[in-house]
Amino acid sequence: MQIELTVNGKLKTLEIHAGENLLETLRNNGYTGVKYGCGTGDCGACVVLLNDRPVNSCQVLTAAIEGESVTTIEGIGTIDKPHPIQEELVKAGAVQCGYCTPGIVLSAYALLRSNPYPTEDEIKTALDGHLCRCTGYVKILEGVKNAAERVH
Amino acid sequence: MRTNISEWFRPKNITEAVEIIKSGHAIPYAGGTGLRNGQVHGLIDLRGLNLDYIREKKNSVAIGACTRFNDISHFHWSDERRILSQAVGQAASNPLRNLITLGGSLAYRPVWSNIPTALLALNASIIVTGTDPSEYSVADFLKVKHSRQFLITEIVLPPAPGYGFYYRFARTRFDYSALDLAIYVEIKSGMIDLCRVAVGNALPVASRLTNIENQLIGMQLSNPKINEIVSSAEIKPLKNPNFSREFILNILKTELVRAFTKIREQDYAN
Repeated sequence: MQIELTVNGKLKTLEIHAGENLLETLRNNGYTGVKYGCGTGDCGACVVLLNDRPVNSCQVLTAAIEGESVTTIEGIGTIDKPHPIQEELVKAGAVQCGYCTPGIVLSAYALLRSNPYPTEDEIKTALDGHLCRCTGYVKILEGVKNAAERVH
Repeated sequence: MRTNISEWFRPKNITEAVEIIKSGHAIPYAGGTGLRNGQVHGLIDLRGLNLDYIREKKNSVAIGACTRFNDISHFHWSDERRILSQAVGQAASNPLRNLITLGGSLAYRPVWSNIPTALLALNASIIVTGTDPSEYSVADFLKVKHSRQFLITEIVLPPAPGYGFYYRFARTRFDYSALDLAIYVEIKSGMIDLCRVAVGNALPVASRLTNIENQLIGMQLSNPKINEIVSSAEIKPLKNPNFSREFILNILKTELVRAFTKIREQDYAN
């Protein structure tokens, strides 16, 4: 089946299987910054923004969001022009293998758009759907706090 | 990839959606996180039904069945219906709470949902279309075998001007809870006039502790016997791989005592 979806601001017409999930759709169409971690909604590696809200793309059937707007990590920043959140996470030492990072950046991005001055607890709640095996989370929290100050 | 899914239906109104449900060709797709049935071939996209709302009416608040958990958790309640926000705000994770819907959780009752307990304490009603009756109390709805013959459209909460309490016990923030507890009381002239104590997740179906409730109604809130009564709560918790039944029962009794201590403090402060 064919559906229309706005991805990173661009309207796309995509050919999909009726039972395909958004993670598969995005990766099959070149958005490989969206990572497959668990496939069960537990790890957060696949988080994208659906109408500006973080969601686990592995839990969303693409056909169910026809006409909606999706933002992936590719829509936030690039290697040449990273988003301040990406820069601050790197500076804080919050990126080791980097696999969880795209999802965390998007959740942090959504948080700072709706809550420019989050408390530590609010940051933790916003990131509670992300697992990181490498860093122990302290540097991630630090990076997001620094990003909040910088972005605003 | 759910290879069993071959067809999508996009009804424009509730009547159309219910006809599709009754035809047996498809099941409703709300947030999608509870979708487990590998035998299903068709799904019904509920977005066209505009069931995503929280509406304050004269004597109640109506929540559309497709309202996401995060929208409920961030809603500014003027009374103790906020315990529903506390319950949904502690379910699953932030990205999942942007997908999970109130109606979907009631229909499929996944282990992460937490909501039956809070809804029992708040005496909510479940509105459905496609079956008679069309309105259920939460307690009655929880007894209904999951059916493919109706669609949940709305959940209605009466006012809750008294005192509420919600507690959820899990190993971590993002773990399935082993026990959740929701209490709602109304006090008149220092006496407990209304009392609902609901327990979930530790039981096969969330339930009210009517034995405890009946003993508390009519008691002075300051009566120290209240602690004795709530400490006598007996449930047979479900087998849990992480906790003994005795441990869960002890948690329940401890939190019941704490809850009434907090309610006393709030009442004195008022």
